[in-house]
Amino acid sequence: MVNKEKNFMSNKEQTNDQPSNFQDLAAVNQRLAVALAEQQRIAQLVIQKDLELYTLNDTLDRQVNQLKVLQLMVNEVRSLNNRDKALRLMARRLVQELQFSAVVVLLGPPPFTVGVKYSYHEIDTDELKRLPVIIKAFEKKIVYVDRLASAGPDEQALGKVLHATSFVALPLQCHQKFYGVFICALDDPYLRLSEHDREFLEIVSNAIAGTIESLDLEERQHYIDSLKTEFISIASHQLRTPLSAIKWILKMILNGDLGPLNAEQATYIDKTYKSNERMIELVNDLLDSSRIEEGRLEYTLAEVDARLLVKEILDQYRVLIDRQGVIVETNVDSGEPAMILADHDNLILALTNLIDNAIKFTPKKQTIKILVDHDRSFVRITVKDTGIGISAEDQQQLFTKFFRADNAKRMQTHGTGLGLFIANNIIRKHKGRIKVESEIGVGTTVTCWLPPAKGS
Amino acid sequence: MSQPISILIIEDEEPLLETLKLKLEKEGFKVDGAADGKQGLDKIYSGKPDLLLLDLVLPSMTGQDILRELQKTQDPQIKKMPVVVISNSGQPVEIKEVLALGADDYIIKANFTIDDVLERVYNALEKKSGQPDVLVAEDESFLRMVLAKKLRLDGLKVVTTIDGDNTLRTILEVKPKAIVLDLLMPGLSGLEVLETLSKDSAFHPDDHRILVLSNYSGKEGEPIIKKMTVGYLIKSNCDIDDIAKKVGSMVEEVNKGGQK
Amino acid sequence: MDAFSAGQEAARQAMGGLKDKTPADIKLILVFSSVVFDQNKMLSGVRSITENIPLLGCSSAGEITTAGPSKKSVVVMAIATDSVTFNLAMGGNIKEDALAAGRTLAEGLKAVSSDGKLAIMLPDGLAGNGADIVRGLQQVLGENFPIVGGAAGDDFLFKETYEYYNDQVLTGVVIGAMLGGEMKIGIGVRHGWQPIGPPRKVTKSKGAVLYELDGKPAVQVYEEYFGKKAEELKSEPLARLAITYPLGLRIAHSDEYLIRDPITVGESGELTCAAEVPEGAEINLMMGSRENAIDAARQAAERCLEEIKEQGGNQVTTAIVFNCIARSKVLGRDAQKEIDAIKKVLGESAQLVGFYTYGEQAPIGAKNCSCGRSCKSEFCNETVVILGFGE
Repeated sequence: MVNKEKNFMSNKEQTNDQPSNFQDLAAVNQRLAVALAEQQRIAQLVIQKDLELYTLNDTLDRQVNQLKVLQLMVNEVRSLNNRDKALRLMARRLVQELQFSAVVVLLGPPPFTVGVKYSYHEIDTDELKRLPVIIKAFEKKIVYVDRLASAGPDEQALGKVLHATSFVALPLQCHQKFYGVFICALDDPYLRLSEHDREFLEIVSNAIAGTIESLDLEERQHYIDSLKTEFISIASHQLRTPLSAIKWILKMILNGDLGPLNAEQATYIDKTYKSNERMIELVNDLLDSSRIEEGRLEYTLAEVDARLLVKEILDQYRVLIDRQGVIVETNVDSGEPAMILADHDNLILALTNLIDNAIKFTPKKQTIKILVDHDRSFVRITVKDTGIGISAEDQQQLFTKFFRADNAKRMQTHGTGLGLFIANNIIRKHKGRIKVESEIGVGTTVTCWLPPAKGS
Repeated sequence: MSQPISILIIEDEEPLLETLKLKLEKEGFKVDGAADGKQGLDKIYSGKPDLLLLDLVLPSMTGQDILRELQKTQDPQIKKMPVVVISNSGQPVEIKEVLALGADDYIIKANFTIDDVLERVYNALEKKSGQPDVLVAEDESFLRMVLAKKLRLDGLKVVTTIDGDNTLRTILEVKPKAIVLDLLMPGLSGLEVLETLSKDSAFHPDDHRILVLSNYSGKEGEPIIKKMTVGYLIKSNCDIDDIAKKVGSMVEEVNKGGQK
Repeated sequence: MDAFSAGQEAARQAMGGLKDKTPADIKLILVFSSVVFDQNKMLSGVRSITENIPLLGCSSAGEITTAGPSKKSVVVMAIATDSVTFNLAMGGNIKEDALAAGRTLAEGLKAVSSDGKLAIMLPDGLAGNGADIVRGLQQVLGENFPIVGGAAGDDFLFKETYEYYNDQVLTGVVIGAMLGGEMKIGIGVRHGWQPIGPPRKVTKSKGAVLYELDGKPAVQVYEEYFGKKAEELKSEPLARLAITYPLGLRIAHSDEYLIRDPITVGESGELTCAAEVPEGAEINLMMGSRENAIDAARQAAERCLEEIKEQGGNQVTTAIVFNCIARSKVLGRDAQKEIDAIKKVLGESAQLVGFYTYGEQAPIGAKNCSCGRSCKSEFCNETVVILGFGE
């Protein structure tokens, strides 16, 4: 197309020195002029369309980007439980992935605190917080400036602080509660926040408000939980004082240190002593469980033979076993070592809880089997009793706090119900697993798998 | 103890005097009484008791006057005699005065129990008579009383303190062989006491054994505990017999030569 | 966010990739940065890591790395080589005398390098006639001396652009490097823009200022086509619109038009372009499209690789991309595709660095140009220039 035009153009300049061809040339020129005009008209149309398309594409680009970023933001924030981190992430996405030059979240009511400030410019947040237009934004009076030049003095002041030419300030609202103000700005003098941008930012501000609300709730819940745990810890320590006084004085009386006792007195004092011992046990359990909750049970891992741990416990329980009249079969006196990486005291606590349960719930003359062996690469500890068993539905709830299976309660044995909860927590912290299998009237088998110590 | 310890009580209130006499005699002491200041002073010179319980408001001679007299004495036995003052008011000015005049300890008449008296008496006796076997530092009074009683039944000489500052002072002044230390006390905490002792050159670790007796789980791993003590027991998890046995062995160790 | 850290971090990453090289092996640091960062602080941040290694760079209207295009960022490339030498020099003030500025740079480059084979130039993007600068260099180095480069940008604000020379942040000048030693070099240059509408004749122009087309004020060509946008042509820099609809010049030995971006409109409708528009030349309005732009990038990469192969190499290891900002505007969210197209041709192992410029300099000889590779370099617009180093 172009080449032909060019040739004709240069031809146009030719002087008209052949009168006989004049008419032909004139006709050709006429047609040429029409063709050129047509070309011009078509070119104009094409360009108009192209421009429209370009503008449309540009808008579409922006919107697609916005949606992508919105989705990214929401997904990322979902897994966070720290409000400041979440706000920072959202602000960063908005500024880095979209064209915004600044994002500020003020947490209200006034005087505000700065939730997050993300901008390439220095923004004086103290001044920002004080601006009347921001305070009004908190009170639901949305600020939307698409062109700084045509805005009022209050908005001009905001623009100056934000170093921006186009911006919005939206209230952060979720479920009738107002959390603060969301400010978003553009500093490109030739770009403007369109109506669509404003709609998008309203969605963003809702998302931010929603995030703040859910994180607040979570935080409050955590705080309440930690208060509960702290209370249990304090109360348990306090309770120990009178319990120890009673424990000591009763022992002294039983010893005869304060004078002779008759048989009847001795019996009752002994019962009182035992009752007090159970209270001490409960308080210790409460303390252990509260420390687990706080994650405060410190673990110092060392290589230890699991059989020796079981032996230690059985030695301690010698008296109780004899008293209960149960028979304990175990393989820990022979066989190969079963080395595991464990915190001695805590694992003893966990296994004690399991063995204690077995002894308590097995009737006289029945057998308890405690075995330590290897199962695939794991060290396996099995505590099998022939006691009252646990029903299927109760099995589901065993590892939650304060649960005691129905029939245990009916059996009138004592127990706090925290034993299995504590044991489970400790075994899990050792990267092991517990499984409980049981049948009513037949017995219960508790199996623990623990990873072996390296090199064994 | 071959000979029972003799205590002289100078107290003009008859009922109180009688009660104290009874309780102390029950405890195994030999007790004499005087209801008059001058009479009391004479009995001191003649009887030379091992300990004096002295009321302040007395006919013919005040407690303070008696104290002043005693300060002048040349008799070594009387010089050695511990004096526990019974104060009516408990006013700090008065307490300060009597301590300055040479009293070893005091009881406030308005709010004491017989156990308080016993505690003061034992503390005063043990402090004056040479190195006691055990110091029980525990602010909870019942626990303190029970433990001290048990240890005394085992034949050990026991002094007691109820707060951190006194504990520190008593350890440095009186040098008990074994120390049973609570962690949570008013004033300096048990840990602070240990920290201070570890830096004090006047404290010779080889001459003492310290046992932490606490109801608080969580401090076992503290380095100062590992360094300065021989154990950390939870009161509610230990039988008193086991504690007494442990303390006994601690005293024996120190007696044998002290080195850890 | 903070300029110093941004520069430092970019430098650290670049140097980190060359951990096993001694500092003496690292011959050149290239830095391209958005103007959103304080330029001095940013450069200090880079220098805090790179120290005295020779540094060349400029501000940009967008940055390019192997990962693709990025905005509001700092990119740093550290080049280690034992066969290529880089020697830096600085030219004079462009606004005063663009030609002299080019000459001074060329003299400087010649002085520091005895076996220079290729010159890289980074002129200020807003200071003056880009083509004059190129000409000034050619007056000293020779008309067919290969010159490649890109004009500094400033995030499409058209306010002020900057050049980085070792530890200095300058403006209004041209800086460059002479490459010597043993190297296999490939240069690919395409734009992909097409002419639209009937051509016009330049009836009055002076240097880079175009006064009249077909006897009418030059700006009218835009007014005619863009109708309602005409008013805005005066308030916004014309550059923002015209950058995607620039003017094109027919020239010898190229099948593509040589593009000239109008930057500003004067009082009487005259257009000041990025480089000169000769009187009597034929001008067309040009139009770009995404497909053509991506295709052009692919062709440029192919040409670059071809040249490396002609010299006995078989792959491109490093490529510097001078990419016109106009292309980024036209491509929009498909800008990544353009870089991907380049990477596809050059190979996944090629390391890319570059920036979006306000003008490119390169030999735009056609594939079948009889003078081979040493074709005359021109100042171009709308072009993607790929300078590849191969082995």
